[in-house]
Amino acid sequence: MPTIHEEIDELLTADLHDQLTDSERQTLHSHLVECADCRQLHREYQNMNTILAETFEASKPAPAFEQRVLAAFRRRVPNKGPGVIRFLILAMQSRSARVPAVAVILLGLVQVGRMVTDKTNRNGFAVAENSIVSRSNIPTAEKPAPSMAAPQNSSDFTELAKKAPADALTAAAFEDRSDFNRVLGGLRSQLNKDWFGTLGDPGSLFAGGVAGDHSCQQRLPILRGRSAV
Amino acid sequence: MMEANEREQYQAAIQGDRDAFEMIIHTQSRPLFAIAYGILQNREEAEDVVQDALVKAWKSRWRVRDPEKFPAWLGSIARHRAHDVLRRRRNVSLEEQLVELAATDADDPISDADRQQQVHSAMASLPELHRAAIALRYLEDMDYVTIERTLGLTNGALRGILGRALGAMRKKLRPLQAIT
Repeated sequence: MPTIHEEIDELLTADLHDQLTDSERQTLHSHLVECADCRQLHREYQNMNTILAETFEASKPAPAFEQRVLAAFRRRVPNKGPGVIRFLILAMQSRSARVPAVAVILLGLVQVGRMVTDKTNRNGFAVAENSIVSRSNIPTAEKPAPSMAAPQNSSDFTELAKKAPADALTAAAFEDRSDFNRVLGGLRSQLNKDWFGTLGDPGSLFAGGVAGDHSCQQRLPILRGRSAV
Repeated sequence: MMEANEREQYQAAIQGDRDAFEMIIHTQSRPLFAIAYGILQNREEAEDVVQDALVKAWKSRWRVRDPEKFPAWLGSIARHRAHDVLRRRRNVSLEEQLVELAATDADDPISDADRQQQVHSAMASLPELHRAAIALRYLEDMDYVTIERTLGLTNGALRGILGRALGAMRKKLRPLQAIT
């Protein structure tokens, strides 16, 4: 516990300002009776208190100070009527209003996100569909099938496969199963030639499709699995 | 604790009630002046600080959640603003400051120039918060509870601050006391 000398500045100051409790005042004054040094200190504090009070008295603001400050405030911040921002500030002050507001904003964002995503998907599908159809020469009502000679042998097919984009092959698979079988058979034949150096009869490949090409299925079991798709 | 009607007034001001805020200007502009004057020791600058602080407080009043803390928040705005002015003033040469101070004193017929000078000098050596506390006590005759609320301090902290501040000033003003 601090001694009275350690707290003497604080106690004498609070005593000057009449801010001590009764017990504190009693303790301090009892000490001042006994301690000459602290009595001297007490006198110094009293003199300084007088000097400070007189000095600050001369520095007090004029009586019209508040009016001047108020006039300056009104000049600098013109009074506007209640606006939307003020209403929002008022609303946001209340915690009960904040939770539903945040929920509404989140729901709104989710809804906007859904609308944007849905529109993009639909547009995306439409663009992809048009792209596939336009690039793959799939016959449509607006664009009949071009007169193109069917591939008769392996080299014809290789040329055709080079020209055809990948999505055209995919589209062909969905358009017509027999076309898909033809494409797959041609690919097998080409792979067979490239990998094993042997070429089966291309005519039989194109005529029989995948189902009739047993030799290829035996050599390329991986592709056999794919042909069952 | 703040009285109920006072609390309602602060709450209304926070929510944008301009009349309530103008009432607060009436009650708080002098304490704000005391805080600014304690730091700056210049009446014109202190008055400018009060005006700036009140405009800033109005514009950012929504930041205050607890109406009880509104006076301390106002006080902190005034203290920071006064600190900015003081920092800017420190860039002015000491010679210019002394000329300004002498001119101010010459215009004031009531005060003793030497005594004022020494008190100003002793005050200037204290930390800003200590100066603000002394000014609130001697300019506004505030009791400790009101000073605590205005500066956002506890009773123990305020007593410590004022004790140390007056202790330091007593040592600096000892020669002046001998003359007096």
